[in-house]
Amino acid sequence: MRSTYHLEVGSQLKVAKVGLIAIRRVSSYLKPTTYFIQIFGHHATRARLKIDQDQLRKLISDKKIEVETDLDTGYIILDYQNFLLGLGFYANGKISSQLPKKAVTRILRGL
Amino acid sequence: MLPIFEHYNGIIPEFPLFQEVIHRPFIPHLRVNRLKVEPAILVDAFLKKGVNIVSSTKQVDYTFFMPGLYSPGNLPEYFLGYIHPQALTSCLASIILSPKEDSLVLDMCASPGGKTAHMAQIMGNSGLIVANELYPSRHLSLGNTLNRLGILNTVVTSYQAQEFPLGQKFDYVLADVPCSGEGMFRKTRKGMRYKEKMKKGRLPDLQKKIIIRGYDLLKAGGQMLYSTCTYNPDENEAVVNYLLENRDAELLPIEMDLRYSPGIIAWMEKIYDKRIEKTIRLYPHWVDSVGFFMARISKRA
Repeated sequence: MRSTYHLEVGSQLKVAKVGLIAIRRVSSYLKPTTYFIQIFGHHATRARLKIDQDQLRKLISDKKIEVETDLDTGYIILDYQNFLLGLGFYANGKISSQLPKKAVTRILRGL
Repeated sequence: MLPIFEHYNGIIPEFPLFQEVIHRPFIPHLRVNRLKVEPAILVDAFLKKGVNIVSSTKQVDYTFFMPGLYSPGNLPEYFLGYIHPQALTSCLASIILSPKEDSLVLDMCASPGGKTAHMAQIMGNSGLIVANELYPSRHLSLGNTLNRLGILNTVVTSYQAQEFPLGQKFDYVLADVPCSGEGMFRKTRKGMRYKEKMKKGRLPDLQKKIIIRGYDLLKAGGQMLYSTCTYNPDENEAVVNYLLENRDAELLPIEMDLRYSPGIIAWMEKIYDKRIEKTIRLYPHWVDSVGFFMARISKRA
């Protein structure tokens, strides 16, 4: 909502949801949401990792994948065939999936 | 074949063909979400994967039949918000209303959000759509649809549609009202178990209240689309007729490249306003989709 006029209209109503949630605070981290990353993740200049089909299968199956990277501990954007799927969490040389489990389990059948 | 909808024999053209076609399987149909991907790119990708994909109307370049694809929700393209499974006739509602960029839009009965998201696509994610849905239990599916498709210009409210606050007027209103859903028979495929709903009696009263409130929420010069997925004239033409009797509303013509039938002006000894012929009925034996009714309404400037 870029326009003040539209914000004014929205503020007169009892709203249950506004736009798209971009970021949540999770302990000491700011965690972007999956759908925010899918739209705006291509603007990211770091913390982005290309994964192949085997790695994606492992992540979806709740297994961690080992990677060699100089990234700091924290959230990382998962790039599969130039599709930004969402986030993983990188710590101690391993990435765990932060993708919505129910949604990605369905696509596992299509891979 | 189970003979159903016999009481519409006099108003549905080519009735034997209609009865045959509603027992045929529903062909999956989807809309490509241009907010996230260009349709031509996605079509190429599907064709390379050997997926059969066929354009469904010349009016837009982003709606497609996908024969043989019965689990679109399992595709990565679904998770990424590139596609949304939606019946062709449902897509037509947003196409006919076509809200302009930066406009103010009310979707009175928004869940599960396919039409809301489609309007946001047409508006290029600009302006503001108020997506109203009375039942909080349906907000989850509505929110999921809007999030997955990358919709940014929407707020969700939870008012009774017929009592939506009158404080703000809208450029466009979509009243895709609760209905008996007869047109969905082909899609739901309940076959021999299907029973025509007997408790339709209260729906027209609710629909009349919603259409009046929707009209009252329009700015002068604004447009409303009233739609249902039923064949029942009491929920279609009779409701629009009630609006014409009670408000100085104008019915606008609807243009499309698909075969349709004009709204009927007589049903069960009732005679409706002649202008109701500007409304349209879409039948599954003419448009390979579900049954649908639309009225395009304007508030005089």
